[in-house]
Amino acid sequence: MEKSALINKLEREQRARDEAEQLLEKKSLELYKTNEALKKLATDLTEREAKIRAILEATADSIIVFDDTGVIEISNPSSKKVFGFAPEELIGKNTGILNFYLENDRDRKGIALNQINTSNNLDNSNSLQEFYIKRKTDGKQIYVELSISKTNVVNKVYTICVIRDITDRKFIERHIATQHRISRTLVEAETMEEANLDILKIICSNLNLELGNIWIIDPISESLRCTAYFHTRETEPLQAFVEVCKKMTFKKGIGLPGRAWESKEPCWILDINLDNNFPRAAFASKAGIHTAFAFPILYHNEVIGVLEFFTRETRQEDNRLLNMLKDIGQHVGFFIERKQNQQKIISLNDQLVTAARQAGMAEVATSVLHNIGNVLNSVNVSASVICEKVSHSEMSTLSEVTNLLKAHQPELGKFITEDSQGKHLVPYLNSLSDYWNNEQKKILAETELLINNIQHIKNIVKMQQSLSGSLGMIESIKVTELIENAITINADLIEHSHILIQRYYEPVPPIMTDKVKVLQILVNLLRNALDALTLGKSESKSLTLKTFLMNPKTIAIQISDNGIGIESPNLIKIFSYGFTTKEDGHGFGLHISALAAQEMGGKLKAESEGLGKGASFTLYLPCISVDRPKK
Amino acid sequence: MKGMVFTEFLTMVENKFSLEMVDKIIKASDLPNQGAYTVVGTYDHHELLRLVTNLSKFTNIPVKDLETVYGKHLFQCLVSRYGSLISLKQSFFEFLNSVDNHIHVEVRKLYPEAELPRFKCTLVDENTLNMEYRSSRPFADLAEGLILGCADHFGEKIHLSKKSSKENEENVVQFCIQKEAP
Repeated sequence: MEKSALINKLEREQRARDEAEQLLEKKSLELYKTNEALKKLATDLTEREAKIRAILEATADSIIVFDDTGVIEISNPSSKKVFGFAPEELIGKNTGILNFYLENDRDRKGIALNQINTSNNLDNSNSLQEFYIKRKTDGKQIYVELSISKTNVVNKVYTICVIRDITDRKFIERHIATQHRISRTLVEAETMEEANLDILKIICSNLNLELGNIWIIDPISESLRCTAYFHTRETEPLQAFVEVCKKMTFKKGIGLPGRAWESKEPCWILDINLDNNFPRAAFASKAGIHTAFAFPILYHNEVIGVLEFFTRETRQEDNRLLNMLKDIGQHVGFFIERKQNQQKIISLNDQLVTAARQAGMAEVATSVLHNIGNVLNSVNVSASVICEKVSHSEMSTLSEVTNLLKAHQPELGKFITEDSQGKHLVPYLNSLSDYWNNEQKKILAETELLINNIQHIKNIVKMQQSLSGSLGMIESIKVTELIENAITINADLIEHSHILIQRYYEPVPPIMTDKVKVLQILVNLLRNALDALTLGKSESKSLTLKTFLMNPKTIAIQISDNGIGIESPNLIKIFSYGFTTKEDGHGFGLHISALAAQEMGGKLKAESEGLGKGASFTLYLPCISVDRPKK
Repeated sequence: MKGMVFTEFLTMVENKFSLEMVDKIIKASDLPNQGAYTVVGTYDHHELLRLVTNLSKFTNIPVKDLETVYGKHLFQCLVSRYGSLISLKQSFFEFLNSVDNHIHVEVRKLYPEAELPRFKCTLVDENTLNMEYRSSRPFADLAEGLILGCADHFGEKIHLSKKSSKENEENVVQFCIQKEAP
């Protein structure tokens, strides 16, 4: 049994060996095939790796791959250009070697690459974030766009970072944004002082600068004086430095502002502590300032001021930045030029308004004098008539009658009744009495006319006197009274033109306004209406005067005529300075009237349906009510 | 099931009983290859069950005990053959914990078709480990033997209790392994 069992065992072992050999042969074949497949795979992988390596090396972006412990496994040559680290300096190191800074992080606390918040999803969705870094080789601030994605390779999470240098793009964006904001400020600013502060704010905030000063040349002392400043941090040393800047002045060539003034070019000081022409160095150093730069404000290639800026960090000279600031300096120069021109325009405008007001007054005065002249003419005529009547009066013959009666005094009754000459005496006296009565009436009438005319002159003078001294004075006026005054001024012209005046005065409240200006406008409008009626061909010339409430806040005075009318194209330019259709006109009256209406917060409107169809001018005035004292 | 489990089982039967017993159980089990197993081969696990059952029949030793003893034997074989899988720095519990996460991972690399039981370990305290066994095959006792063999290897004296259940045709056994105080 034992022997049989042993034989069985040997047989089983033999069969097992045979099976094992078959299995081994089969496995060997499989292994050979697998090996061939692996060889091909290895070749493919080598090729693929070579391609990926070529892409990695050729790409302009820095590519960094780190594992879940933050250890960098892959880096490409562009990392040297972006970070200043060669790939071999990064591979195997922790990502803490690379610090990223947020632009608005004033504390300048860097964030390690593996600490940057990203989505933990492994779905290849990239998140783009912008930072700046400090390049190791030269310390230059480089702006980067960071794209982070994660991938899982054999149960290990890898983070793939693509870091693109966007410094150029960022600079251009910032340049455009700064230029745009400054241009806008320069357009919107009312005064140079207002613009100064905004310009400093914009440049400091856009370029991460600590402090900015504006220096303007004082022509008397021929030195630069600090007229505006802006600082982004409130520290005592910085405040002390600002105080020093405010107190100091710089001659040409002295200090940073003086150098920019002298050279007419931007100036850059890498480190004020190492500069021997920076008198404020002690205070600036305490404030932690290192780099400073300045550029001139040019106006017609002449320096009128200097803009000066400071940073705490040491910044390498940046020509592009200086060129940008040079542009800004020119813009500011243009702004100053524009402001000066505006000042000139305002001054000229004031002169024009004064001239216009004087012209308006002159127009009223002319009307007054014209009327007085006309009335004086009548006064003269009346005086001449009276004088002539008195000098050529038949009453002089009364002395001859008296002499005749004296000569025949003793026989006066006989002389009157019997004498051939005396008989005519009584009828003659009767006739003389009639003549005298008649003459007296005529003289009396002429005298009354004279008195009336003198009264008219008195009224005009009185009205004119009421205007004197009230120029520019706001007072309560009743518009109907003012219209009547304007008619009085032009009364003579109206009477002689046989014009029918129609009055439609709706009740309007008294308003607070400049009486003289309103009267000037009304006199002008009336004169124009009378001229239009004179030139018009209508047989029944009429002038319509209306007052009405346009709305609760506006009253309207309308002067309409059925005169010559206005052509449609002329309606548009009727209020323009210098425009006139009159042969002897100067194109001033309506322009001044429109301006005066505007000054009073109102407006003047002209309407006409065309030539021969009359015209209507409406003066709208704000209904500023009169405050009455409470009883 | 890998051929080594069969060859080592027959070796153990030959060593513990006799060559004749090996012959008897092979014949009684009516095996397709008449027991000609090779380490590099793969065989149906039912053949092992038949061999163990017949051994139990001939020796009057319960199947459970046979499987447990074989488990202890198999662990020693595994150590001598794959000693590199056990780190010198590992403790008993650390090794048990690495079975599913490390050893079975390596086994799958070598034998992708292998159907391996799954173990889930929970360290209750420094002396107690709960180990959950899950397999479609009924070899929980073999696993128990392996655990005991492992404890011997690490020089640990343990108290082992288990609780068996069935979940969706799957054999689930909760082992509670407690180290005895030295």
